[in-house]
Amino acid sequence: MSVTAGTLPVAIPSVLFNRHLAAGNFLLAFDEPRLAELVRPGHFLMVTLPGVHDPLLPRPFAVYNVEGSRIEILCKKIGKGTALLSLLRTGDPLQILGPLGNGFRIPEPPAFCLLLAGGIGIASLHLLAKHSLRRGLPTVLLYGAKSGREIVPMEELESMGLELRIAVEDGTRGFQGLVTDLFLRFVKDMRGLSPIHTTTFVCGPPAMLRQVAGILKAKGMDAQFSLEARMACGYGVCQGCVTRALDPAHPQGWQYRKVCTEGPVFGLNEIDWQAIE
Amino acid sequence: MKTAVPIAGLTLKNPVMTASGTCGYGLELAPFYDLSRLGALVVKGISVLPRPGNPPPRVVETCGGMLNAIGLQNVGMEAFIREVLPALRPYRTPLIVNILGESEEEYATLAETLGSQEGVHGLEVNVSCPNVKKGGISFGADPDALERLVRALRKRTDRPLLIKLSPNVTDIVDMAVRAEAAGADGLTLINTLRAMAIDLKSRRPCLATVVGGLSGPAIKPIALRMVWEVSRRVRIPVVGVGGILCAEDALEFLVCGATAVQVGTAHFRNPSACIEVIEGIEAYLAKNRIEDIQELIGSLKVEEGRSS
Repeated sequence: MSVTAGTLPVAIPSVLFNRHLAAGNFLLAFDEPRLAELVRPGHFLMVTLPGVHDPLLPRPFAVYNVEGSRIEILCKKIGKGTALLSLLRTGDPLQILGPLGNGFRIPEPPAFCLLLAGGIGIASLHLLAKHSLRRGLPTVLLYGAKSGREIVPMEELESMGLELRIAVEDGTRGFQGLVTDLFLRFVKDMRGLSPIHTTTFVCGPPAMLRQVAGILKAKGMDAQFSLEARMACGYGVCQGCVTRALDPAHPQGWQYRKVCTEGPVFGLNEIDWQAIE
Repeated sequence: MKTAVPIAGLTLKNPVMTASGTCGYGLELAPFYDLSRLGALVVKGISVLPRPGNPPPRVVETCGGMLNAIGLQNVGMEAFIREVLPALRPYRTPLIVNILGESEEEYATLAETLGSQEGVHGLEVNVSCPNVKKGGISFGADPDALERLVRALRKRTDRPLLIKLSPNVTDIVDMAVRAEAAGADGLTLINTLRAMAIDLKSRRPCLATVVGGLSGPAIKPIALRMVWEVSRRVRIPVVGVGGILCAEDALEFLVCGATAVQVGTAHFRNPSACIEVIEGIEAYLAKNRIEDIQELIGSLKVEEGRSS
């Protein structure tokens, strides 16, 4: 779902609310009807603080939720930019560019959706789960974090029928270990489910993506991965966010592709996993 | 109110251009505004053969700026002519193609081939991109090599020839004077400054190539100084570039001696950055009752004996 001419004005909405959801994780909401209509699961936005020149560059955020004309993004306090965002209050202005990126491809029924989120990777999978559940697709979310305190509550999705399984490294909730360990267990138990009818969606840190990719390949399953990348612009001009994508037609067997406009969602077999660090 | 400026045989309707490498092939900006509003469109550097570019990470933000090491990724001359150029022709703004080569012959091929295309109104020669081994740094850093290159290109094309100078030299004025003597129609300055950033946690460089090019507001004072020094010593027009985020920044470059400006890193903050600069310049002229923008160019007031 690529963007077309005339659909990308920069918007300056004000913050509706800034809500603490879990340790280090906060939800920023703003009203933007045009955007709300265009956004699909897997799209992202470039967010800038108007008038603030340090940080200079916008930051990319997945769309976490759409509620009527309200857009919500889930942020994790990591650096200077996200620290400033965490301090925003109701009424403060935001500069928003989007929707950007290709987005996920949600299957038609009958299908089963398996979602794997590592840490802040939940940000791009939440809206996807909402859409797949609305479409009536059985949806399981395997959600991992370092600690139970960092797990963002999923009540709304659970009330819609989401099957949630949590893995945290410190054992304070659910399964103790990595989400990849939980995933291994899950695929062992899923004999009853046909891999053909299973669509897997993955978002998380690079090490997790690599491991998950290895397991999926061994099982002969396909998947859609939403990649994160350092990017300056988000709309294709800086060429900073490339990833190596396999391309048999190319002499070297791969090509750099832009995560912002050609992704952020790539198929399991499109990504050159050797280059994912 | 007149906003037109003459640059290298072209008349720009206003002095604001895009900076090469910050707006792709120009078409990426088309969803945001009519490209015909630009003073000129300068597209990303084109080489004879396609270039894959550098491995990621390619960009990192630093205080007041950013580093990039894209590695001059581009589709190559033939694909540019076949696939990109036809889509750019309908826009009523001069198109300036930035060219880069690893040898005098490559530059000459580019100048001759691209310079003879309908819809290419000028060429900007990248002699300074610091990102790629042999990627032009020798031309940009060696006055004799630069002079030879410009002389060779002058013989191969009648199109306006802008030389984009590197700030990573001991004496940029010498480079400018040599380029002018060799037949350049104008000078663009400055390209990015060689710089690096460190991730202390991992003790690794932030860029895969270790060193990259610094751009953004952090380099504006250096760019202003170089525009000031060069514009006093050459007769050909100087195009100022480096850290322009708003109209005030652009106006400072004009006052300093630049005939036109380029907007670069600001594109990453705001795709419509050029339009905001153009509108801001118009508002400034109207507010200050300046009839012709050319009154501003080089109007810096410096008392005799005060400049070093």
